[in-house]
Amino acid sequence: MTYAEFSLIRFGTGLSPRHAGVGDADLLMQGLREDAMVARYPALSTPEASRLAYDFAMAGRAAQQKGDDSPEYIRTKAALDAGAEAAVRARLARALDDETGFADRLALFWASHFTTRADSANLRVLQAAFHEDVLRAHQRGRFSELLRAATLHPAMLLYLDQSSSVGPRSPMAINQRKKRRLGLNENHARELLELHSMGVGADYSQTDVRQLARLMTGLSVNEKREFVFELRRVEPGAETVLGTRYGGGRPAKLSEIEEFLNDLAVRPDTASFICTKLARHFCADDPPAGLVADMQARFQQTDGDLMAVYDVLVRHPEARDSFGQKVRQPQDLVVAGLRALGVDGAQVMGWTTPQLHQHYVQPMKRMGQNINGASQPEGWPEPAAAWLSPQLLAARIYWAMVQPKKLMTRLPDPRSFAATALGPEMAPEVATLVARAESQADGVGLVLASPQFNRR
Amino acid sequence: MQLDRRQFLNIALGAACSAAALPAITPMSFASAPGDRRLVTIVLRGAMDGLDVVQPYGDPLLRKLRPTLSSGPEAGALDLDGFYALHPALAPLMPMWQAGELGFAQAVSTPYRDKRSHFDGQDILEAGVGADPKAAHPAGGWLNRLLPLIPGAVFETAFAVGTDELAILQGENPFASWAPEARFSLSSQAQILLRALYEGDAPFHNAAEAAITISAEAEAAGADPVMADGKKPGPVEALASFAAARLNGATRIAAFSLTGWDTHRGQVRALARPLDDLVMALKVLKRDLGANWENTVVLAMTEFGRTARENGTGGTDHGTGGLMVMAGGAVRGGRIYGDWPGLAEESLYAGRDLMPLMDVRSYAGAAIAGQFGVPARALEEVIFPGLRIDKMPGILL
Repeated sequence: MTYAEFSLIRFGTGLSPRHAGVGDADLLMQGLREDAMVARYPALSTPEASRLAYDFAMAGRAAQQKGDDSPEYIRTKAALDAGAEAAVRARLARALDDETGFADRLALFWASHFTTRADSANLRVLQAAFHEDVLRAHQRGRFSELLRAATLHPAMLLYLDQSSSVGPRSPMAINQRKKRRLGLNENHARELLELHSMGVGADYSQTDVRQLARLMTGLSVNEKREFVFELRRVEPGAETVLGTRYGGGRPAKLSEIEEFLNDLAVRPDTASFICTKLARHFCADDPPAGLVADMQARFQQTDGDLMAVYDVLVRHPEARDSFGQKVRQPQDLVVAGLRALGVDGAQVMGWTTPQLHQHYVQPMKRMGQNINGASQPEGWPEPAAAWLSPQLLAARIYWAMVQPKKLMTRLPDPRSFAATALGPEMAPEVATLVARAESQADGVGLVLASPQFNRR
Repeated sequence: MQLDRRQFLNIALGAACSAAALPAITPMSFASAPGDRRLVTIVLRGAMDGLDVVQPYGDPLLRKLRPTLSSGPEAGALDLDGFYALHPALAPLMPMWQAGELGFAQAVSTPYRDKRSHFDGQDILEAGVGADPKAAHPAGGWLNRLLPLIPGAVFETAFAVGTDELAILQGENPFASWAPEARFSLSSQAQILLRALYEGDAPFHNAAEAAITISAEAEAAGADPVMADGKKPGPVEALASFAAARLNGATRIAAFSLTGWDTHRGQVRALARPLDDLVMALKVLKRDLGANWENTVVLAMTEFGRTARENGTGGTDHGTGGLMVMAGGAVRGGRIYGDWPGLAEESLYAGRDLMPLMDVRSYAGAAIAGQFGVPARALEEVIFPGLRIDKMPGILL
């Protein structure tokens, strides 16, 4: 198998009649550095998302007072929904049109690592902006930059309740008159250590979680759905987290929290947790030890330069040797299916909303992956077994058998489609079987349902 | 079929390490056994706030720690015994309490301590083992280890009711879930070719074979219940109703989970839905089990409790000591088991959580021993390694 085929399947969004891929790891990294598709298919920025969410909230409030849905309410709701949908569409178009799709796969990895779940249209636009301004913008930088951006974004602050946390001795808590005592919410602090950086196995205590929750007071989201560092929420005094004192400035400064995040991002536990997760996601449920060690060493040498870490991954012999051990997660599978069938970004941009759902959102949901994010903060499970229950495999098979007919009027010959979708090396064994299918649709479906296509 | 770790509970209940905030729809697992006694376990995922569900309003410190939550009968909670009051959302269960078919154990926990991670906490709850999630565990979840000790007990195929997001149910057992709505129809030739394609790839092969057989079985079991009034039931009603239907057949052990208990913020509102779900699950089990309710024990357990103090956002954070709910005609209900540890600073665990006084596994052990005649030694050595039962709690009639 050529490096182009290997890297398209393992690190990218799959083989396609429209793309040849890239011949070596240098070119793969070069494409990631350029990330050209972002400019071709722009998506929602954080200021735009905040404005949409704020306009909708204002119109909603006015409508509630009047007791009916005003035209303004309907207009802002439609704008909100359209903004969130356009972002989903843009991300899909990028994954189909990019030469390799490596950047798109990395963004999915980080979206699971920094999970936010958006169950309302309000949150969906902020989540879309989180994808754009946090994940896509910072996944090529240092881990500390990514961690900082993720921790301070309104989508995350709202999702993990940080936006409502208040220092118990802060001016806001002291001056409030309501019966309810304002105070800490430690949800975000806990997940920051347990899920976003060091991992649950690392050496931190409940006291660290508590101290961190105090240190993080002030991080909030204002009425306009923008990030704010709000002094009146800040717990006075310094906090000791993981053995080091932070904060205590008068007045308190955001940089005191950033200082902690910078330290956290380069701890050996963090290096180990992040590199193991990357290797587990891209290579094997039980990741090769040499690969993890080499990535971790590079992480530590470079203070968490993510491009340097990916560079180890994409040229490592153990990444090559473990090819095929991962089962494609549903989103990856559906995108790879669309790519193999030759669907391009321009087509996706022309799909109606129902078409976008029928061809993309619904199939992956039936296979177990909701476009709005994992329903728990620790993200999507990695083990193959999680995605191969009888029901979920049935959903994959159902998609494989019916989707191609809905997408195209003329289906490809199943034998040549096997070569397109799987590459020349894996195609023959599948091609001889699919050639015996009763119909072209069944043959194409069997290629998409094959273990070879479902693995990477 | 070989029974291995997590086959019974962990998988079917949605593998421990990733289900804290699952939606209400979950897969279920079942086992058949001889006799009439039935056991239903429900995992309440996300850490239920036991101090809000059964409020110790007789302790004056409660009001101090919780200015807006758990305000006792003054705020509509239903007095149970002069010290504890039941959360108002559980009012529909009062007839069950009065009939002695509903009871609670307060201040219980698993051996898990200190890190308060949902994912590790649920893992330990389902594995039924000691405190370290990374330690070598005996094979299987605890219900899994129970089956070989009941003569004639057989693991049955697990089902799931509903389709949305079953996906995230993870586990090593590929035979674990099925939604009745899942479609699986292929032409016979396509099916033959698909089987040939999957032949050399065990995970695909096993899951596909199971899909083919289960789809037929699920259809035969009538896994898509429609209520007598012709309405389609909600997810929790469907879940409980389906479990009851199986339990009215050969099934004697059923397990599923209810979610949404992670109430960090605005708990007054956030707890309403999961409590309604719990009410629905218990009422439907009683309704549909009919006469079999008399022989049934339902245990609802959670990974840990929540902080004794209300937090700064009208919610509660991860804690330690929690509450177990027990129901069924075979339960000695109408009472709250366990001593009250108190809420004074020095009485709290780590100065913040309700002090657990009893291992939740002792109560589960008592139910298992009573329902299936498993001796205490097997409980301590096989099912719940490390557990010491000095005196079996008398929670059954």
